[in-house]
Amino acid sequence: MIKGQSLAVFLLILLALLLRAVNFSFPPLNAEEARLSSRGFYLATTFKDELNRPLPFIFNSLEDYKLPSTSYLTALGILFFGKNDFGARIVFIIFGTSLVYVIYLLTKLISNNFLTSILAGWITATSPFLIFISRTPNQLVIVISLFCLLLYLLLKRSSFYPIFLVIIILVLTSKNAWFIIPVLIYGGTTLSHWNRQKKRILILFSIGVCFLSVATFLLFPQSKRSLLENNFTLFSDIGIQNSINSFRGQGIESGWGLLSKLFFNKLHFLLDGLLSWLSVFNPFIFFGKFDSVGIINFPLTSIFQNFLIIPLLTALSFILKDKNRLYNLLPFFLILTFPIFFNPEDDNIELTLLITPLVSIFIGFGIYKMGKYLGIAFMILALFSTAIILFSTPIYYKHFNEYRPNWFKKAVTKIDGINIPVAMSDDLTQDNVVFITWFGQDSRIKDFSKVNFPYKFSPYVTENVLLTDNKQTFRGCNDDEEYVLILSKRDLKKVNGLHSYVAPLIIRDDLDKEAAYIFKGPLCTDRIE
Amino acid sequence: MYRQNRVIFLISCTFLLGIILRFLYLDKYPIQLGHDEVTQAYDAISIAQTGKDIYGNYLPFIFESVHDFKPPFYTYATAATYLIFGDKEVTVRIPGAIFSIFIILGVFLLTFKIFKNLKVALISVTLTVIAPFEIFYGRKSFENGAGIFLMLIGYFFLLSFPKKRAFLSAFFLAAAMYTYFSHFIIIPLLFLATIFIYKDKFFSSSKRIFFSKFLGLIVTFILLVTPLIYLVLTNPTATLRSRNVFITQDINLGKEISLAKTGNNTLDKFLEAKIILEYSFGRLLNQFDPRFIFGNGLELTNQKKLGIGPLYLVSLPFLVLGIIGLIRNKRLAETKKFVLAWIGLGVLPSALTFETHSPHRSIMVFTMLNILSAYGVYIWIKWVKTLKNPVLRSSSISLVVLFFFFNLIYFLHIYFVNYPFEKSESLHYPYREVSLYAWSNYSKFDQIIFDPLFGEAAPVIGTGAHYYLAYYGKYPPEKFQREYKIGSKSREVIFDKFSIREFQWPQDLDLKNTLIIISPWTLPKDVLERTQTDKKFYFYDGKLAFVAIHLK
Repeated sequence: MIKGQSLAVFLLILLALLLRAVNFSFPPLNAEEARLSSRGFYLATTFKDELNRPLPFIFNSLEDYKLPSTSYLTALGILFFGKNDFGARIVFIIFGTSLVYVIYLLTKLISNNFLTSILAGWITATSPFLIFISRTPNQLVIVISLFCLLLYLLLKRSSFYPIFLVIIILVLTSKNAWFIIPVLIYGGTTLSHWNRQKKRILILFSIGVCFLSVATFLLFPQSKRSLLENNFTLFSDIGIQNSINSFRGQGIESGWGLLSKLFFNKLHFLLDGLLSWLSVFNPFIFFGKFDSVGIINFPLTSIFQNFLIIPLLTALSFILKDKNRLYNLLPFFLILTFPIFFNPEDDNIELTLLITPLVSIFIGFGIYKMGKYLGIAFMILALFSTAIILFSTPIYYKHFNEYRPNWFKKAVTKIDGINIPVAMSDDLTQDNVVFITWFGQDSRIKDFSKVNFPYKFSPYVTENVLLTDNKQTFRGCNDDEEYVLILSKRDLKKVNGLHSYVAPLIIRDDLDKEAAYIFKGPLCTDRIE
Repeated sequence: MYRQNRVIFLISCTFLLGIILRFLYLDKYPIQLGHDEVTQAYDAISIAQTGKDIYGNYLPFIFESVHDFKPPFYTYATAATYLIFGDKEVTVRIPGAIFSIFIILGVFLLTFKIFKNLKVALISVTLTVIAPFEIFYGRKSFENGAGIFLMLIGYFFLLSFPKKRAFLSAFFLAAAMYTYFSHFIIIPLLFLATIFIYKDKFFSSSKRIFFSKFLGLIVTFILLVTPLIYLVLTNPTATLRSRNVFITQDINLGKEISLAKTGNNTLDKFLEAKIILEYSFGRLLNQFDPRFIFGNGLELTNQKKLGIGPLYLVSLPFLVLGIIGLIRNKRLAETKKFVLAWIGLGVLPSALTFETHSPHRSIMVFTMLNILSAYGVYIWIKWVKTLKNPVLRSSSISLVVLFFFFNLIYFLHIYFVNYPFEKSESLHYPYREVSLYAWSNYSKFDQIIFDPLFGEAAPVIGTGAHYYLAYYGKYPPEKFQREYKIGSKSREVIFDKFSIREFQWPQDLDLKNTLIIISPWTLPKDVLERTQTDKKFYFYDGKLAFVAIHLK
């Protein structure tokens, strides 16, 4: 029996690995993932990041500071497997696959039922969203996996060291973890009746580590602002304050002054936080569509296949009716998501997604309760619909066109390694630099450490590749000049009168529309110093 | 006897509160007849006086109105109130408010029937009386109110089977199907689901009862709805209306379908069907977004985060408690299935139409959620009663009552104070003032041009301007039917001296002896500043909406 169970677990993990590793170049990377990958490459080869800083603790991104662990883990993959898609994604494939095993263990620990555990693992293995984030470099899969592991270790009453290790990696991965960990430790140790002294040590340790993380982070310039604008928007949302003022003004104008002051006040900040927190439980996020452009999920899919809402409702019905062992997991839905209360933004999805594995467990239990035949039908359907996604890549490339521009590789190959000056329109993609540095083999990256503080910005990607903005003008080349121009539609208009004697080479995007125009020769632009 | 009197007294007080909340300042709030109201009012007058709508259709099954093809029930009901109360603005709102009061009765009866508990029924009545969506739609001359009332009563009678009165359900449910388009689909489905859920009740009776009562009920129901089915299937406007609001009108869905094209016809059809199905399912789930239900779902304000939902935020914990309580209550096994079917089917119209959220199509869902909250309150009160400390007991109850009261006052503030400021544009304010002004100057000009394009933040084309002008001018419908015609200019409607159309700047300046009413969006800013205006019309918040100028 035990042998059979081990085989089932092995096959489950194999399936999870296959679904994550087969055709691993899909989906193509977005700007943030390409940045992470190229940074990983620099770290692995030079021990410096893309801004030439030696082994930094905090990294930059388009929107916020990034904590170190994701970048260094990416570097580890590239160190072993080189600068390629596999190297950049392998660590995340491993995390995503491990998550399936952790879910299996966690479910088995809580439900004490092998079948439920296998089913929960199956749902995790075949979840389109969990597959997606396991195939792309991002911190989300690390955070989700580690939180699950931490919960498992706590409920199992594991020894301190693995818990300490997980906590340390978590605080180095996500800012949200700083606030969740102490509460999770409290919840987990209480639920599994830890020895009071050990519990106290764990809680103190977690508070200490989290406090230290916050304190260290605050040493960096603009970090307070980063926290306020990305983690505590509740207190910096002028939208709510403006609404309060409008309503008060309308009340005063209508003679309801006193009541208006009573009703419209700062309490609304808390109500807004509360509503955002509750919105985590909008079933649309889990079984509808929450990402139509493919930033963190396949565009036409949900976190779970939509028909899996049936087993989820079945599970909830049983759990609430009988106070089943899984009932104890319910508080963790609130614990893992409570920081949303302080950050009530519409696009704040990361915290919502932390509860995805817990939903998997419930779905697994629901399928178990539905009986053998229905259960098998749901399992096959889940696998089948995921397989369809992975075999429908042409459709998805079209959806990815804007944020995951696979077609841009073709433009990069045109300039890779050449020595003549290149000018490229800066609106071809969201962030040309990261795609050029990741797709290209050229390692002559601009040394940003020499660029003046505070904004380490240079229009040159390498010494010869210039990114041109809207103001850049173009002209015919002099006799001794050579130039390659890769222009967007915006800049094509500017050279329209100049290039009548030469037809550009056209690069088409994933929607088969003209995206870039390459001129080699007669057109030039002036160098920016 | 004492208990019975107390119950009657409580119900009477609650009804009185319901009447006050629905009829207080009904003529003043909403601040002006919206385009749905004015079209229904004038069509009702037209029906009452001539038997035809304003386009000359004799006793139409569907009112063309402003090409939104309205279901007929409300307009005919308004025609009846017009004959009783005469031509007042409030006339069109009276049927809606009356049915909103009737809904309270319907909720009481159905709740009592499915929960078999008088206290739950009384609490649900109280919550219905003060529920934001009930008050809002009750004051807004909205046809679905009648449909919901008829449904509640219909299913109450149906669940009374095998009592004689169950036969009445056929009449009420059939009538409900005539009131609102979505009920045409929902009611038969829920009817079947109810019979399936309560199969023991319907099929365990003797053969005589089965054949005489059950089959009699079914046959009567089918006979009553057959004309409706015939009309819906044969009337092209009915399908036009469905097509206009169907989910495929959603731009994002269209984009997804076009991106999934592969060139293979069969595969494309399969993918299209799959995408539409999944999109609809996603939309269905999105109707349960807590922010929509408890935050800002009624769309009474333009503020993203401050507003009011169909249910009060304070109802939320009780709703959760009610759901858990219902799941755990083994005695109510059929009730929970019925509630689930009611909510699951009730949410379909919103899921299948083009708007992300359409609260007016989900009223039956909110009604049931309110009943579930009432059940939650009942469970909570039962728990509070187990508390030994009497001070704690009474203070807990007082606190919750206070919270509900506080939520009610908050809603009333939003409704009476903020809603007019925030949404005057969507109520077509100041179309009434514009119409009255046009009529007061009627004799001075050869022609009156009204360009309904207006807006506070962006230009929008107002709907039903000809209805506003005709209604506020007390224009005889019979004459209107003769005079009405479509003009040759952009979006032009003509009747009498009025031309409702796009004002063409500066070509129209050559017109003589003409009154022109246009918005600042139509006139270039510098010209507007230089032009001598006869009158300015403002939105409720004081922003300029229209100006009247005349050409000599």
